[in-house]
Amino acid sequence: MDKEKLTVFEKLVYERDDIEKQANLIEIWYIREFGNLVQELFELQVECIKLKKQIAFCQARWNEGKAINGEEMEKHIDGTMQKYYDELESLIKVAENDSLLTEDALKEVKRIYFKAAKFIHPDLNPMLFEHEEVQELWNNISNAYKANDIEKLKEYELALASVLEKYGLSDESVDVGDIDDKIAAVKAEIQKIKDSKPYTYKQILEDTVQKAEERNDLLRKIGECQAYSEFLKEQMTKYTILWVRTE
Amino acid sequence: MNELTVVQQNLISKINKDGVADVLKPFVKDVIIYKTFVSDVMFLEDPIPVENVKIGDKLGLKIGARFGNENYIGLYDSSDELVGGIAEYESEILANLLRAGKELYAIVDDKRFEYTKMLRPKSKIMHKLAITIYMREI
Repeated sequence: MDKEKLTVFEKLVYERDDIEKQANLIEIWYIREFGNLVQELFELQVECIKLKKQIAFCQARWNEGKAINGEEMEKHIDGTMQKYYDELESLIKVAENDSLLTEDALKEVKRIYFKAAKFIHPDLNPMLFEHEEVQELWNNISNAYKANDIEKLKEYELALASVLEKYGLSDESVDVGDIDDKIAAVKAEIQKIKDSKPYTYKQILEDTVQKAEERNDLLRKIGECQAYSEFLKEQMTKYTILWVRTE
Repeated sequence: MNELTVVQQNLISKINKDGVADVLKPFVKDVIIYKTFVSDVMFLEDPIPVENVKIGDKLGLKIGARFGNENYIGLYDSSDELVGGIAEYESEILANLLRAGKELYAIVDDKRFEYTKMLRPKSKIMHKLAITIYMREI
């Protein structure tokens, strides 16, 4: 194995994971910057979707000349709306979370991640990655790294020590297969992340003019959604004659 | 646990650039389904409503059991009076749309009448209504 190419590959893999992590952090940064507006817009969109579903439910009853039972309608709508509520909850959690790590803690996060990556990263040690427990451990470490979850990473570091001992792993056992293809693939992945959202929000967030434009754009969309929501509410009044009370 | 793990990829993009807001306007779109003629006019219990229908009138479509057909689609005027229906052989797709909660309506494009030998006591003439059926998307 060409040691020099292996070093290049290793660096690229770390760079790719780091850019992925940056993309996650940019998304969080974006939410912190525009969180209130994004949340308001999303809530309005969810409200519009709900109103549209209510209208479709009522119109179906109208088309068949049947009465509308509010309780039955709510039950029907809530079932189909759950995924939107889950997304909204995720958004609120991100917007509310303001716990940032210190410089030292960030260094510790990187140290544990790189130590684990050196031994059990699927691109760097595919043979070992065939073991289910290694896959699970790597997935956990990777997720904790992306989320900057230092407490979890400390726990996984202990688990890593145990796994390494079990498989008697050393640096010499690394075999990554066709190194040129893999280098090209990782380079392509890096470029793809850099060219897509949320990484591309970095430019907006670092530029005052673009940030102001983004804010105005969100406000415009909120205005449009509010108007649409009012329109849908007005449409709903048509069905009140079919409404029946349920005790 | 650090809640940042719940960040979902591309959640923002769902809301922003490709979100709902840009495709909202116009709020209402009327889509033409097809053109046809009103059927069953000669079987109406009360022929007065159909006699009063004018070119350009809007008729509502409703589904329900009638004339031995469970999926019968009737056409109703603004006073909710039956003025005819959709022929059974072309009503299946419309019935599916109506049951899915779509608002369908028809606009009267043309109205003619002819004397027929199939006369009933209340109906001296047979009205022939040409309509275009629309689906309203909001």
